[in-house]
Amino acid sequence: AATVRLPSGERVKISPEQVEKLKKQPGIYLIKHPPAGGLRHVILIPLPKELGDGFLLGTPKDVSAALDAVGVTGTDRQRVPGTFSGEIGVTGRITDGEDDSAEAQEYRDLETPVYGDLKVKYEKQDQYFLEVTGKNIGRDDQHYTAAGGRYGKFKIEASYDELTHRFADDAETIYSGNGSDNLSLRGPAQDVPFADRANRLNALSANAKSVDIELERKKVELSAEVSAYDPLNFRVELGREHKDGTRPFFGSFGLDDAVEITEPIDYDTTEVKFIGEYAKKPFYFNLSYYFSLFENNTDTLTWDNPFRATDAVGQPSKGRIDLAPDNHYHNISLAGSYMNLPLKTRISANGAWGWMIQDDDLVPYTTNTALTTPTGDDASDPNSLPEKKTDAEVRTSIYQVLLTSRPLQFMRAKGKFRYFDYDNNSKQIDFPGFVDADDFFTTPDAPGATSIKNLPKSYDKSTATADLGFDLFEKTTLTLGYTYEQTTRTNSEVDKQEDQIFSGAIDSSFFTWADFRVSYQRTQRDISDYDFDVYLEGGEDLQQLPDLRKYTQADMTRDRVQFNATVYPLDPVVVSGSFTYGNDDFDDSPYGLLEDKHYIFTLEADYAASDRLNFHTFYSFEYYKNRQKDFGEVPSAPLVDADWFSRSEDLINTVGAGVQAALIPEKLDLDISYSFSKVDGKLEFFTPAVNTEDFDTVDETRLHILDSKLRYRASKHWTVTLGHVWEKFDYDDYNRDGFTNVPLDSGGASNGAYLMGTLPEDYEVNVVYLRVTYRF
Amino acid sequence: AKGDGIYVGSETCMECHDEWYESYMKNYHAVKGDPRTPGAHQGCESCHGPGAAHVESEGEEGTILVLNPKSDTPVWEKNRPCLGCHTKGKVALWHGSTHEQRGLACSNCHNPHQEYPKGFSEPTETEVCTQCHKRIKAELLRQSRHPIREGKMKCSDCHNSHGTIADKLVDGQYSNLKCFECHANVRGPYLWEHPPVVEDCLTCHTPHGSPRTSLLKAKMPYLCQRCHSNVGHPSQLQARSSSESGQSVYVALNNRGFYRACLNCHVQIHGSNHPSGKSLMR
Repeated sequence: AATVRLPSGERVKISPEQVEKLKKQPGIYLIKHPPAGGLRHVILIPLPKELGDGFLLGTPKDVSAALDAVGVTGTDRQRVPGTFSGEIGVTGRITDGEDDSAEAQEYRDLETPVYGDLKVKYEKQDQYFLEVTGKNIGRDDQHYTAAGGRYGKFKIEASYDELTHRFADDAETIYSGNGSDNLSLRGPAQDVPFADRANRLNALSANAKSVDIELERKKVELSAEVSAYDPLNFRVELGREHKDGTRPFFGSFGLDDAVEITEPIDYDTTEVKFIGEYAKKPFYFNLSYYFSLFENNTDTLTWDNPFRATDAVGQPSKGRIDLAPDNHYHNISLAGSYMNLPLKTRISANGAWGWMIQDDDLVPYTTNTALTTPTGDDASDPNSLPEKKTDAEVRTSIYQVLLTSRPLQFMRAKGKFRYFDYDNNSKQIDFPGFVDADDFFTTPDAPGATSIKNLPKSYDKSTATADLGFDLFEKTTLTLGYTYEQTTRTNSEVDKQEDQIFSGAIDSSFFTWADFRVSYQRTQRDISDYDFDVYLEGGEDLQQLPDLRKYTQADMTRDRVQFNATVYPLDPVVVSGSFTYGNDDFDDSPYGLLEDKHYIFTLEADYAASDRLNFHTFYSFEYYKNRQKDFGEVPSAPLVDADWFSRSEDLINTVGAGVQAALIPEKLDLDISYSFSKVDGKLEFFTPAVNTEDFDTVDETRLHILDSKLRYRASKHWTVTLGHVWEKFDYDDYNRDGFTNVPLDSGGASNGAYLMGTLPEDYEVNVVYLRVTYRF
Repeated sequence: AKGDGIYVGSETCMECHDEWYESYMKNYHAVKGDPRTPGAHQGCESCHGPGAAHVESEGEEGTILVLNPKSDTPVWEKNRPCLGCHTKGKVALWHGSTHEQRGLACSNCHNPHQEYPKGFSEPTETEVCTQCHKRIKAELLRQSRHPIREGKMKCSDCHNSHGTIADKLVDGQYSNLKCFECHANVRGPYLWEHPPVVEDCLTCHTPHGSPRTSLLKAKMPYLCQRCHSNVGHPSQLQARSSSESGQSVYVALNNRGFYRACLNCHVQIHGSNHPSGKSLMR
């Protein structure tokens, strides 16, 4: 046998007998000289003199199969022993400041003092591999993956992830049983006169308990991918997520008495996905299936009324909310494309069908045992309901055809049609009425109505798009586009809506020192008549619902202008900037949103001063403004002609800068970055009826992040990183000032509200860390 | 001419481009055991074309396909080697996609000579995307956001930059379905629906970052009053002067204007399954 070098660089031993066999393998040819015109999809294996000179020719796949078939197994490749590589890191840190703050730790863990990182790969060169990674090991936000397989054949992967979401630390609650389905007052229940609510809440507040409100997601995923039968490929994914904890929530009893409580979260979500693909030019096919099952292990939440010990009409002792129902979803999709049509045309088509199903048990109308239905049944008894289950189902379907073409060298064309249907087949249930906030049994008041029923909403959208692109001159293109979209709805105020979108853009890289793009887009939305009475069909003559004015279903003109440029004034300097103007104009709307406008300006610069020194800066200015008009009822003066206007403005400045320096090349690096985000919000009001109070402090935030690290490569294997992170967050809002848990007026009167303190809080933290990494 | 001629082998390329060769060898593209990779074919020349002319001319310009984003090579030619193999999965809908139409080359975002995940040109996916999407870069610093800054989410968890059938390159059949993947509790369908949830989560939420809690597009209750603008308590002005009412602003605002505003009572804002949940309070 002689040693033969494959084009990939691999060396194999081949005997003359094996060469004879190889010549007979499908797709393998023995030639004397390489073709003069070059080779595109095949490889050449030069044979040494001992094997008769010449070249074996074939596609890489055929060659690989042929080598296997004739038993060229004793290759260098298979004799190469497996190798381990990777890195292991340990980080120790000291944290100072409000490191237990929910805002500071919203999605991360700052409190664990020591944690690890890991990445280890075992590889039998070009054959098998196994890779294990761990990130933030030991922290509340840790992540692990393990992946293994055979290159080009299959891959199996497993992962585990933890993610926290913290809402509040040390929130004050007047209930015990947080996280369960039943919240009991921390103190005896009482029937409290309306005027004594402030005293009652203050007494409960004195006995309040401190709780952290947070969620934790734990997710396990498994996937398997088979590529051994390429161009046929398969992938299967399984996922299971458990979400556990509490979330800020409210329980209210009518227009007053809103008590902040915790919502128990105990969710399991299971997902299954299968994808089969066939891709061999000019064809592509895809078949996919997706299944998602959501299970809520806590069906309802019941909480005590702080002001009532016994049930009475209009005065429930408890409230009950039906929490998110179990549901499941199936989706099947098919896709295909063909790319060898005339005029460099490619066509692709997609179809997808989905089913959302929810059939949870219905809970009784109320917990209030003093209430009866119109037929005299106990409204807190589930047997008084006309149905036991929801029986809700939505079917979705999507069809899309896309055609792209380059009919002329200087011209591109695209045409697309898409149809989406959301068909809500949920059962309409005729209820004799409903119980408003566990207070009163309310019966239908629409003319002639005998029941109140749900109105399942369905809609479909048909979208047709045509784009044409032209090469105007060297490296400069003009793109023109037109889209027509029609939306039709059932059980909604607007049956039919038409959107026409006109767009144009010029892209140019004509100058060697700059690229730029300028684009304009106008959307014209026209609606059919606005049907104010659609909700009467549900049996209720609620004043506010029939007359609401949806800005998403209103005549509108939308303008978008964008300019982007990247300039290379000097070789080591890159400057890029953008300007965006957007305006949604609802001039024909009598009420609701009238205008939504924004200007955004960004500027970014990179300067590579040398191979060892880089600077980076970033600035953005954002201005958002919107106006709305609402019908003018005001508290205590409901009949005054007092249409009111509001103007909301947000001014946002963001600054960033950084420097990366190789202080000692290949040894010592310095990396410093700083960012600052400043948000100033303002709300102004105008009405002829009463004096208004503007709010100058609306979600005003300041966030500083300074991240510095010094990395020292002590040797080929060891790296030491010393770092410091400083973060400071300030939040101010008119909503938060002037009270802690019980908002009172100047006379000490309460509106019955008890607040736990779950809005964002200021924080400042310093983290100093030392990370030691061993690489092998 | 580029793309024609005789192959010289990757080791020949290495003689001049050792740095690029070394980085390429650390990339999946160099894995020879996978017959789909350049490593199993002509190595460097699988993407850059046969190198004989380039070697003979001692690196003369125009004798080899240069793929870096600043090169003069036309975009379609830069993308040809990539799209020759990457025809399925996430890339199946590249042709006609937003980024394809904008004239982006694969090498604008990917660099197989880097060790970064998925051959990105920057250390993280977020850094790659925010090179152009600068508004989103600023939005990620807002008070309310997804855990992108912490690296627990990345752009491709919601988007497929290579093309999708949904708008905004959302990696799903329509945008709500993408939201429901993580927020399956909102999916329903509910007995009593809140119409914007049925049609588009983005009617009320902005996904990349907001100064408002819960990624809301506007301050409550004024966000709700964009639609609930006409008659009854939902449309009442929640900004009456405290001097006018003789009460502190919080009490004057009743339950409706302060703190979480409408959500103080209408807690089941995404829909309710309670027989008495018509007003989304139960």
